[in-house]
Amino acid sequence: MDILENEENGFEERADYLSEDELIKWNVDIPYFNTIQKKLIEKGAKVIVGPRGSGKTHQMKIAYNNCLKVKNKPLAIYVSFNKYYHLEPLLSKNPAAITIFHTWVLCKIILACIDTVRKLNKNEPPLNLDKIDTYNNIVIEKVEKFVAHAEKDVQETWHSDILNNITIQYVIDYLSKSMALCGRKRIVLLLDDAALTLTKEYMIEFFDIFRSLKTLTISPKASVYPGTTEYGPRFHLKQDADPHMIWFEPEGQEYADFINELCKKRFNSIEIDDGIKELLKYASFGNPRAFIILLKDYEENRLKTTQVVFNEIVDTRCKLLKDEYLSIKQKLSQYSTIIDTGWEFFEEILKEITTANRKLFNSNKKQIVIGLLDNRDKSIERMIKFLIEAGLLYELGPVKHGENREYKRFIPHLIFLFQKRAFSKSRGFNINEILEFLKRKNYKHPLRKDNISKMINTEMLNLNLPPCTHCGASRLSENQKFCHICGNELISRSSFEKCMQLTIDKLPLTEWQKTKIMEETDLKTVKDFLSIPDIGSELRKPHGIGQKRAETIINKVYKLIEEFLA
Amino acid sequence: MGNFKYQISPIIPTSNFNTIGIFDDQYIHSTNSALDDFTEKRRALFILLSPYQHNITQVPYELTNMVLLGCVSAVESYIRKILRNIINVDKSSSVKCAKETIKYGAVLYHSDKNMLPEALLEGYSFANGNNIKEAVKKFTGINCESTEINVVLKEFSKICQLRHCIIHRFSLLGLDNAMLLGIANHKQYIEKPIKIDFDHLNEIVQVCENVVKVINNHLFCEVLERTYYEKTEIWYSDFRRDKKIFKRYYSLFKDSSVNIDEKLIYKEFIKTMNNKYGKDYPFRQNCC
Repeated sequence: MDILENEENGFEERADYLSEDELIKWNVDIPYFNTIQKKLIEKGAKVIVGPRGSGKTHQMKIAYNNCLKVKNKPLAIYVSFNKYYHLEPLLSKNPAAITIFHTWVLCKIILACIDTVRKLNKNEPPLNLDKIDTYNNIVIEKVEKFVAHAEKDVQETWHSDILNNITIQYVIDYLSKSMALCGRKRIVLLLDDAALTLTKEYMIEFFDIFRSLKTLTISPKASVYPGTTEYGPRFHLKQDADPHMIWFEPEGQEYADFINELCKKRFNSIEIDDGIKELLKYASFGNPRAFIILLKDYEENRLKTTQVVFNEIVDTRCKLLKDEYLSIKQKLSQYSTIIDTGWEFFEEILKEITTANRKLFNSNKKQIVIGLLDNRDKSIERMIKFLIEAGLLYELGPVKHGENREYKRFIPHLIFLFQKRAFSKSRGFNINEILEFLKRKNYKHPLRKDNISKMINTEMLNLNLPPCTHCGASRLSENQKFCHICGNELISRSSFEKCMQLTIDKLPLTEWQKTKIMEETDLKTVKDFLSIPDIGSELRKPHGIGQKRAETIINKVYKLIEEFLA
Repeated sequence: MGNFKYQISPIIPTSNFNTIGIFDDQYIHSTNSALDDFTEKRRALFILLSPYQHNITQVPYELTNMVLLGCVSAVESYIRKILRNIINVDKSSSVKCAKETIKYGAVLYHSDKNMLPEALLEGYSFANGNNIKEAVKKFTGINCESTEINVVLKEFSKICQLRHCIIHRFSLLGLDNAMLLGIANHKQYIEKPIKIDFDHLNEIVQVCENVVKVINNHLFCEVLERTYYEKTEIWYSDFRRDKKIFKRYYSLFKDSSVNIDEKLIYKEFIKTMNNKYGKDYPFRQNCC
């Protein structure tokens, strides 16, 4: 099959790239999603929590289309905030960053509202901003321009009109006017991609806006990732918004029903072997997007033997998931060690579960649940949250064992257990054998672990914050801005990281020096200049670089660092 | 019958308190820029926390409150110094101030003529964002209008409310302050003490720092461009000839913590001016 035909065969795995028709045509209507639809359309603030690819965008878009078409449903406004990271650099250089972000969010809501009103064939209510021209289309153009400028870090004096006038109350009033105009009784605000994981400051501000937009007639709904979303001090999940999980239990009946329906509706032109479908279901770990990707990979390699294809797609997917998880390090460098330790921890879980299943080969039970004694250690909790966000651990409800012992239960991503051959009795690849194992009942108790420090070195769970560049003192907190020892300003994370990531070819050295360093030493980035203990010897490795030249190079690099971080 | 008199507490007399001797008459004003002075003050204040480095959560709130007061004071001090310096160096500003009146005593007692502009600012308090804007406008004629300035001054005004509570009410939140901070979110804190922890303090100090930096950037650009536009200085677009004048202005605003060649800033300035007004603008005859 030609992969170029993907679109027609339904292999596009992101709801963002599907047309409205495709979205509706391929939508799987099962009770599990009906509950989510209900949550999205009913009154009240809701937060939809699910990892990447669990169907958050898809569900929001379905809810949006539904509301658009049915007159007695609320007025739905759909906004995606996936471009928030364009505003990230502002945080380290513009004191007005949070204010600009605040207005950016409000402007995006207004523009989405106008879009909905126009789709309903109505003329949008006038924006009536003070000081700005009274012609509505001119004002709308300005709001659009402001959004674009904020994303490109362009600043102009007229922005202050927008910043001063577009307030929460203004948006509430505008939405209410639009609602009346369209003859609807309520509004649901579908705020997609609201996790804003890279920028804690924005995330906190966002949920402040979310909370403030909630009125009797306006019900905000946001989609976020599980685990690491920070709601800030003024927002209380459960109290300010009802959270609802969108992540199929990987081996639950609902997910099985979903897969069957999905194949019938979207992939009816493809012949899929039932056994393979079943295996891919487990391997996708309750994640619809992962299932579509795996199926696509499988289809692309149909000519090879089932065993080869399956092993290949498992390996590729495992590598991808691992890389995706470890990539958080690049984005949130302060968590580097925690992320690395988290991976070790995950590997340990896989090892333990695999061993446990080997022991159960000849029984009629399997073991895929690990139970960790809840000792409320914040750093361990944070590590686990990153694994949950990446979709590597699925959290089941906690269980009690005895009086005071509560265990948090998790299932590790099953595809890694496939890779470890946790469910294969024989050396070969036997689909039926693996499936027989997977369909067994779970062992009565989870694999209990009382002391995580026996699995990993928990002392490593510290933040990696750069020390003071003036006196070398370690930082005391993540939010610290000035050194408590010498009083100097601390360098912001972002610029520090950017500097460390500069590669050799970007350094102010001669072409000859660059080539020599790149080809004949282990130095790759500025970071290496600081982390390799004996940098002088390392630099003298190439022929032609002696003590003097090495010194000049080091000085040039240090000067660059100084300038970069000044 | 005499009035009722009873000493609840015994009083120790301070026999002869006077303020002579508590000022340092040997002090010489630094020639640093106003921004560098501010940074130095801010640094000195923050170091007060160093004894608590191993137990930063134990910093007494009295101390964090004092650092806040010090920082606001450092901002005020920056505004005074930068305005004084601008008035002394920039011709347009000094012409603008020529119409203002000052106390006769200022002329009589200020030994240093460069200090005279301080007399203009005598009745001003800069512990409020709007006052800063107004004073800048009044004494230099420069408008402080930009998103950045508005945001930082708005935040600074909130800190000034806290300062007010600390100075006048030993850190309890007063009703007026609560109203200015937003009564809806603050009503539950009325008459409750301010408790600034280490993270909060960092943020407060950052706001003060931002006020100073944003205003410093703004004034530097505005003052310099005006000298070109109003031709109060003659710019030859040649660093060798313009160096002296450029340095005179640049030194008022310089940030020593930033490592940058001033020639680069000069080039950027001349390039922008040439593009905006034309290269021959400084030598063009004004036509009426």
